[in-house]
Amino acid sequence: MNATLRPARPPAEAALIDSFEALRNRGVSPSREAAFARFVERGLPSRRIEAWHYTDLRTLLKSAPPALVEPAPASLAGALFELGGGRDLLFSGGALVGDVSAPAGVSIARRDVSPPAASAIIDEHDGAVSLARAFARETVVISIAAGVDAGALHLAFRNAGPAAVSAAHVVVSVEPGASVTILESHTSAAGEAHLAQALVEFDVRDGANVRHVRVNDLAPEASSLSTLGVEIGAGAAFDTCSLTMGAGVSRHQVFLRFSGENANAAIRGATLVRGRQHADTTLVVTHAAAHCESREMFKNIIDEDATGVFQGRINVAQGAQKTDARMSSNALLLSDGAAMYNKPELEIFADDVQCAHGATCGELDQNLLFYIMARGLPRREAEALLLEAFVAGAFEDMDETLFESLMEKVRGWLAQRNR
Amino acid sequence: MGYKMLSINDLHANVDDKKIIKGLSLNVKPGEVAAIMGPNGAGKSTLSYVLAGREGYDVTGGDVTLGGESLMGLEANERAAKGLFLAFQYPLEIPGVTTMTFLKAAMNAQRKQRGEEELSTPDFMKRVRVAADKLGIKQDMLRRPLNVGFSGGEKKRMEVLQMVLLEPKFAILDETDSGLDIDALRIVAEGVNALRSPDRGFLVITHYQRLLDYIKPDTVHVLADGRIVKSGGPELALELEKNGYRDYVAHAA
Repeated sequence: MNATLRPARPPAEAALIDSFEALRNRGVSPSREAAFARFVERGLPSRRIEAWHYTDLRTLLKSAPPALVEPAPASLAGALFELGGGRDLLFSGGALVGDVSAPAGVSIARRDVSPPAASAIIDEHDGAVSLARAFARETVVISIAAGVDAGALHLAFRNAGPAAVSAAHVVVSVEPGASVTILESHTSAAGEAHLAQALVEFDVRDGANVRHVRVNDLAPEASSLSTLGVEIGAGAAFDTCSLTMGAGVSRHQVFLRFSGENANAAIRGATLVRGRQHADTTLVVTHAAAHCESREMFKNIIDEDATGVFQGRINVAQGAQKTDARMSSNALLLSDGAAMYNKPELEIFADDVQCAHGATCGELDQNLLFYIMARGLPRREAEALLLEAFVAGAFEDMDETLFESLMEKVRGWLAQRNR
Repeated sequence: MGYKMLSINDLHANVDDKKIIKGLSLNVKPGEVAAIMGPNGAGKSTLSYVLAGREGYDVTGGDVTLGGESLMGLEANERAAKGLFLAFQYPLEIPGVTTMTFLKAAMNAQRKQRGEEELSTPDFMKRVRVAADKLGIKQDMLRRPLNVGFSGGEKKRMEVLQMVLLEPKFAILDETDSGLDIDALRIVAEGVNALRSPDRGFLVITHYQRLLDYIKPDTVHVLADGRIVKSGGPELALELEKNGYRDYVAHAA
């Protein structure tokens, strides 16, 4: 096979191929085989691929753990969201475990891994996507019936036990006029070098309303590869927020497309990293229909020797007149060893649109710090006040309960800053 | 009364290795309002930053004590907790932090450093409401991010509100009159005057005599080229208003 044509696969890539071959003996579906073949052909993404230029997995992933054979026992303990009446769905090693009963108007089905959707919002040749499809044990399909307000569902992705490579694949289908809040929390066992992958796809039909929050709270030894694919129908609203604090190496990529008119989306996120963490957020937002509005707001706090990456691309198709898209990425570097790569891009083929992007990198304002300290706050508290306000800027106009639970996480991270 | 509240003794300070304060000495007694006047570039703002403990303002000699305790080597927040307050010439805007949040954080941070109990929310709210009403600060301003979009007068009133709530032992007002029209100046001055008490001292730094019509000083000191070159009573301010600083600029050169 192709593998033999490459003289030197990096150790992590070779280990992933071995892992998959071990799984193959237990039987994998043709669509997983097809995804695996795409991965083998291209290998782990490297800096030679433009979309992965700042996150070279061939050097960042030193090794890969073995494939998960059976999901380790996991629990909801320490759940990241206080839902007050919402439903928890527990995943371990990418597989849905425990209670799978669904509230009224919602169906939850477990299927063999489904082939990529024909609409292809997600780049199927992307290394993280093919790897996730190859390693996902099943596809969990969550459907919200038309017109139903399904409340909140908390998808608790746990990676318990010894280090393993695993992937979750979830498809959320939100029928016309339905509304739902989907919360994802990702955690892993302390000290274990899990490679946790997730592929989450949303089909947001006309007039539906979806709120989505993703919190990456994985252990620093873990690596995380995550892809979110979203198709938005006419008159629908989609709001996604990612909070990245965990994993030594992480990539969260969002492929979002407006396919119907008069829809709007907020794509927001905050990345708080330190130590030697590397966190990449990459967006491709495609306005394929007219009269849609998108807001992309990202805040990055990079401390110690950590690295942040933000790549944001907005495509406006020829017929997508009256598109209104505004993207911003702001970074605060808190130490000399911190690095941030911002890469905003616009590609516009329509002539009557409003598009803007802005990217900044800076340090905390020393004048402001002095002002706050002169009022009595010790330096660390003064910094925390400014950093908290900075992050909150990405969460503007969010649901208040969600906002508070995210800010609580942010405050926890800030409280752990030392020096 | 011989007791010294703020005592500056042969202070020398550099900014970016440039000597700005060159052997400045000054004593302010409890209850005293001392005015420092001086030409542009004399070191007035530098003095206020050095006293408040700003990073990058390096003291190379001398000492400053507040109530007998040296402030040298203390961080700005520690000086604040000991009762020193600086009203800024240009108060800063803090996007994303509401005025209320900021006030509470400041008051409690100082109390914590002094080993006192934090304020209860009702107690805090009441103190703010009473103080804000007196200064004509509307409640909706308190819910907005601190100083963001406030006019010059509103920002200065906000400085006085903070001073009222933090109840300092000693307050430095750095060019508090700059950017204020007469009405705003009167409100700010009334706020300051209401805080005058036998156990609180003030250092009022200003270029113009105008402010001293509203905040009447007990003593007036002329700062030129990094030191106090003349001290006197309120009449000294009037003399400066009439003759300008040219005698002192010449003196300095």
